[in-house]
Amino acid sequence: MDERPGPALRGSLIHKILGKFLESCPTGPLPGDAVDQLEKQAAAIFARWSDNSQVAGLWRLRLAAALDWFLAEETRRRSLTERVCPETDGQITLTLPAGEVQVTARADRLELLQDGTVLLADYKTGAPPRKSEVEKGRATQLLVEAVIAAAGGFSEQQGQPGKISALEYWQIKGQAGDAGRVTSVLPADFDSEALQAALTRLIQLYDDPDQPYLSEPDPAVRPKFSEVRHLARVREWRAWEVEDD
Amino acid sequence: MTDPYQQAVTRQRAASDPSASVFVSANAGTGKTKVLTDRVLRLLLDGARPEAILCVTYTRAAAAEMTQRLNRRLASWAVCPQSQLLEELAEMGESPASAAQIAVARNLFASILDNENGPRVETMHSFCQSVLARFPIEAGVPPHFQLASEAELKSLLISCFYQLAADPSGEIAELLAYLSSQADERSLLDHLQEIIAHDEVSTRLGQDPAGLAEMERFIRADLGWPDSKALAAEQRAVLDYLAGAGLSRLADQLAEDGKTGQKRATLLRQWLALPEESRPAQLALLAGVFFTKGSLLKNLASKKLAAAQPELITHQEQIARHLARYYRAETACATASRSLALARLAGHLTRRYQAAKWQRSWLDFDDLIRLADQLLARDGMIGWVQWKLDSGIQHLLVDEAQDTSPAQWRLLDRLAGPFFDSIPEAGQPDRTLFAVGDFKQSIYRFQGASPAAFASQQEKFAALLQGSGRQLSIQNFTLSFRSSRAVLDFVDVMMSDPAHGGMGQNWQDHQTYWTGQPGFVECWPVTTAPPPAPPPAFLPPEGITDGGAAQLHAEKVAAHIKDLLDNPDQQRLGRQIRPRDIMILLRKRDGFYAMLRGALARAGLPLAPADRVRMLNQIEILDLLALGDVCLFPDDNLQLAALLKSPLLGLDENQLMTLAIGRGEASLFSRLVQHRGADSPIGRACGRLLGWIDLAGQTEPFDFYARLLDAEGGRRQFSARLSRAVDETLNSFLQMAADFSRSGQSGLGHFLRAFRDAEAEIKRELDESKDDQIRVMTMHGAKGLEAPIIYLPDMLRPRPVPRQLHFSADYPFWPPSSDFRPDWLEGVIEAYKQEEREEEDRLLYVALTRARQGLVISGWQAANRRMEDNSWYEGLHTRLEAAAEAERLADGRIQITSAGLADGPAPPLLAAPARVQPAELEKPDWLDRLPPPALTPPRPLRPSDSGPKERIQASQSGQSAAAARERGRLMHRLLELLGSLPAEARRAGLDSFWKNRPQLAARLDRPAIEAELFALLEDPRLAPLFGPQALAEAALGGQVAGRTVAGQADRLAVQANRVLLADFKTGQPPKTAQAPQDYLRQMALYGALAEQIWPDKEIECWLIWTATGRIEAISPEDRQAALARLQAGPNPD
Repeated sequence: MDERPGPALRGSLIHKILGKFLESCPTGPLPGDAVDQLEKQAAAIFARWSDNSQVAGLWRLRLAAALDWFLAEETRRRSLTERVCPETDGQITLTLPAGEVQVTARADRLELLQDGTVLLADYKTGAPPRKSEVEKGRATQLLVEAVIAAAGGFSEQQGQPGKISALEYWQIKGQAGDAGRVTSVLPADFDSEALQAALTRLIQLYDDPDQPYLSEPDPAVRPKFSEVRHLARVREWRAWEVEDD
Repeated sequence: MTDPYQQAVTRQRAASDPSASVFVSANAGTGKTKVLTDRVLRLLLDGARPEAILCVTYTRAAAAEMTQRLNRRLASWAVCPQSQLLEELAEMGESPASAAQIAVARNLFASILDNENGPRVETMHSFCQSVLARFPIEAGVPPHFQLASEAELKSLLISCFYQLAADPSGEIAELLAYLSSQADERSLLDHLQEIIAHDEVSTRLGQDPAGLAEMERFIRADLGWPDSKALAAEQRAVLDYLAGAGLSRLADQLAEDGKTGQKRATLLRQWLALPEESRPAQLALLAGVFFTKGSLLKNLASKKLAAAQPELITHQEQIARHLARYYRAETACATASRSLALARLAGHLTRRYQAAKWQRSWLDFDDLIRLADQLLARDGMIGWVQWKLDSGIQHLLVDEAQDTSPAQWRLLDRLAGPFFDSIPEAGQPDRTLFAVGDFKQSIYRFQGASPAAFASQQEKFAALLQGSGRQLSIQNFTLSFRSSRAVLDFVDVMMSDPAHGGMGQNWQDHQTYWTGQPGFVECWPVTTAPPPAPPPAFLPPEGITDGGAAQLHAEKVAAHIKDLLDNPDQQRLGRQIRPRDIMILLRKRDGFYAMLRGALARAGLPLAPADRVRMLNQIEILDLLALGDVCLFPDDNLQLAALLKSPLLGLDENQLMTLAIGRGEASLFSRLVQHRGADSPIGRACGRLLGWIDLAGQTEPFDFYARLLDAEGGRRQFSARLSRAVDETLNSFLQMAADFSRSGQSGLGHFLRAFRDAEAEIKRELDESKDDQIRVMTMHGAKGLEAPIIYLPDMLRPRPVPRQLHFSADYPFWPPSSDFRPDWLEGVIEAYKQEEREEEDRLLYVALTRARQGLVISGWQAANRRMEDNSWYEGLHTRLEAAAEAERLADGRIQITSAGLADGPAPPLLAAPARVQPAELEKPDWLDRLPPPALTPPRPLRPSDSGPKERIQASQSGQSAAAARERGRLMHRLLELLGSLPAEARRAGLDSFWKNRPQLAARLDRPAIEAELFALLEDPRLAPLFGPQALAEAALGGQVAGRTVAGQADRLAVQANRVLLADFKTGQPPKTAQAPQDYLRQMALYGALAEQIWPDKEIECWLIWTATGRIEAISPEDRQAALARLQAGPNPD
């Protein structure tokens, strides 16, 4: 590959490592050789990139500190958690006037807690959305996952509706003294039924051929880096980007 | 009081006096360029040789402008009436002009026109470049060195950085491991780039190991910052202290002391509750108990408690002192290790980068200055260089002296130093120095220039001159020949305030020359907008949200300008206002810059092109990159989708959907190729793309993109769809592709990466005279420019991001974010901020003084966003409000106006240029046609090509065809080499041949080859063909039967009455007596050529079969027959 690997790749590598590792020990306390196992997963996944000095050199270095932090966090959690479900698929069928719509999601991490509630988490290698953004419905990923989990839509839930007790972003950095950080973003007024109704209504509104699908409707909150910006040809039509910014 | 005009003229004349060395401090607009031009002219009039004058300017544009001015003046002197010439000379101070001067003035134009060596008006860099190009050996640079472009250097530096990362062993790996734990790769790379950009710093760090040892000594010995061992000791000390400090009792007391006390107690107890071994690592927790943002809490107890137990306060203060001391040590230790590691890595990177540049024979601007300086610093070199430079520079002139960097001053000192080795001789024209600048306009601190350097240079020159009994004359220019009184009075009030440290101690008020010119300064109320209502959650957005206050403000500026231009009654300038009269200056190029340009464009105002364009922000460039990506990886779905929607392939949303929807895991490309050959938009797009993918595989990036854009019509498609000019960006892209190949690199993938790494920009000079358009640029970019009306629309700005890297004592310092800093570091950061503020003052001065007549000041306040403290807007607004003549308008604007004195001088009105409607030209029909393929000369007929190369037959030994060919080539080569040696030297020659090719010798059957070889070499029949008198591989060329023929005969011997031509055949000889047709033809062609060359000799042509030694002489009849067949046969071309 000639292109320089970017943040998207870094994120996906870390997701893979953590997912694979957790698959091997979803329940109970972590095995005594957890450090080695995690390291082995990392080595296996980075092996493909051994030719790339940026990935194999720089990223790998930074990853080490992040993994230490992750293990500490994971160890702490195991006393409260019944089962950790990494990279798990879920879905829910919503009934709309025009027919049924399936909403699917893959959660980075779903925990079935010992108290019977459900925790959902998303790993971020960049800056995670703030709690206020989740509350305002600007960052919807965990909310949609929560709607599915509330209806028991993730495979490990075996159809049992879940009470959502936490929504979290795990920011994985690998910086000395700041290797990672968990932010809890469960909205204060979280109500899964109201949320499901809102989601249904949103889909219904977008199910109308007259409803425009706007690209970057609010420039103030547009993502700093967007993969699809070029595809949306924003620079071709947005007036203040006629030439340069 | 003297008349300011007379005073100014006197000073100008003193400054251009060719017999004096002068240092001029000139306010903005006071005629720096004029005095420089006058001085060069007066030097010439005074008899100075043109090539002895070197005038150093800051930019190439300034050099070109100067040269033009000089030529214009000289051209007019050559032909103008005597009275005008005398007047002009007198105006400069040559009054009365001598007859000799007049004669010189008349002839200068002609003599300089023929003299390409002088007077030299150029930038420091081009001067250095020409010196290095002239003395490459002495300077130790590659003679064919090139000045690399910014983009090339940047992508080279980045790839050097990643090469470092590939080195998994030793010190570099250790450094990277540590640094990666401190910052992500992006910021690391940014910091390294910043260090490398500091030429003095990186040069020092690149000196292994001296530079770093010096830095480490400075940190440990001079600053006394602890290493981790010393820090551990400090930590033990503070923990010991805390153990005996009665913290739990303190916690109990605080817990009873209100809400704040409770919070502090909780923190304190939290720390105390930690197991003994975790406490050291958590010492930072205690900062929250005693400090806020690094300073001691104002209330260490409630008033009541403090009154009751005053010792509680002193006790806490003592604890806080101990903690703060430790925290500062911690920061010092971390800063030391971070800075040293970063500096070490920068050292490695510098060396690798320099080596990589060297390998490509690239130099950058800093290299030019440094290498030229080193060259001149060498013993005796300055004299040699001076002598070679047409017997030396005798008059040195420096323009924009305030922007000259220390390295450049050093070089100038070297050039000037020997000027004054001797005392001036009476009656002899002396050497002179001249510098003109305005430290108030020194805004290139990042290049090392500073007002302090400007001042100290003046002292240095004065000392240098004094040392040899001369004098440096110092002149101040204050009379502005540019701005109106309203503008200048406001500048005086605003900038003379001692709060503006950047203006220095010796502020000199401006005086107005054009008192008849009307002027104004106005300031608008701050534009605000309510924070946008948040879109309701889980509902589609109702529309596109605007850009808030910034957007609103951009529209306001556009509307204001439109009103000025459209309203013929506007008398603010005393005449109709034209778009070219307006220049908009911004502090930074950011989102507002784009919004403003957009607003102006939407208002239909003629807008000059952006002075700087980032290539990666141009959608046509993104399209070309997507095409490159797709050619390399057709399964890149996202890039393919983007490419399909681009003007290059032109699918619409629905067509793309047809391809994309419901394809499951299949790639978009696999769906696209299903439409191959279809007569539909998708089918045609597919066909074009497949063709390009093929083309990309066969050509280099430049050829690929050039063909795509021109032959394949890409350029036309872009400009048709984007309805704007795209040629400049596209051409820059092609230029970069061409540079890429020129620098010896190849491959589309590498090109795309280098292009993206380089983040190239196109820069344009926006000078006024060119087009009737509004100019928008940064204040930095406006240096040296001026306009009747200046808009300053972003005088209030969001807070800047604090810097992470600091330079001090010529070393980089990279502190961690911390509220507790060692005093020295605090001082460095504060000093930096102070310098930054002072430079901001100077930047504001530059911006304000660009205006000839009017200033329009405004700003916007973003909702929910903290704006900077003490903004320019605040200062400008307050001063304007306080002015006695300020008028407050109904819409909140404040303005002052100066009508222009009826009897005061006014500059000639710039006539509004007549609108010229370009004639409609009919487009010639050849414009879009591809040129016909270039005619290439027919390929010459090669006698040896006229049939199969060599009759290769697998021999009995079962040799492969390849081995047989190798043996054949070897046999030819040996016959060529040995055949030309005298007989007795052939054995030795062969031995050394084998010795140098041991592998070949081992692979082949040497005895058999040698036997075959010597059978031929010693064959008496062949004796005339060998030996020094015969030719090997003799080239023959000419025309045979109307066709061009070129070939080489293996052997050629010219004898008294015959010519022998022989060709060796290493294949198996034919069973038949007759040689194969193609061999006959070959020998026939050689024979025909030889007959033309030696018409009076007999020509003999031999085919010699090396395997058997059989000689076959081709008879003239057979040769005739072969030629006849050739003429009758089909043309092999």
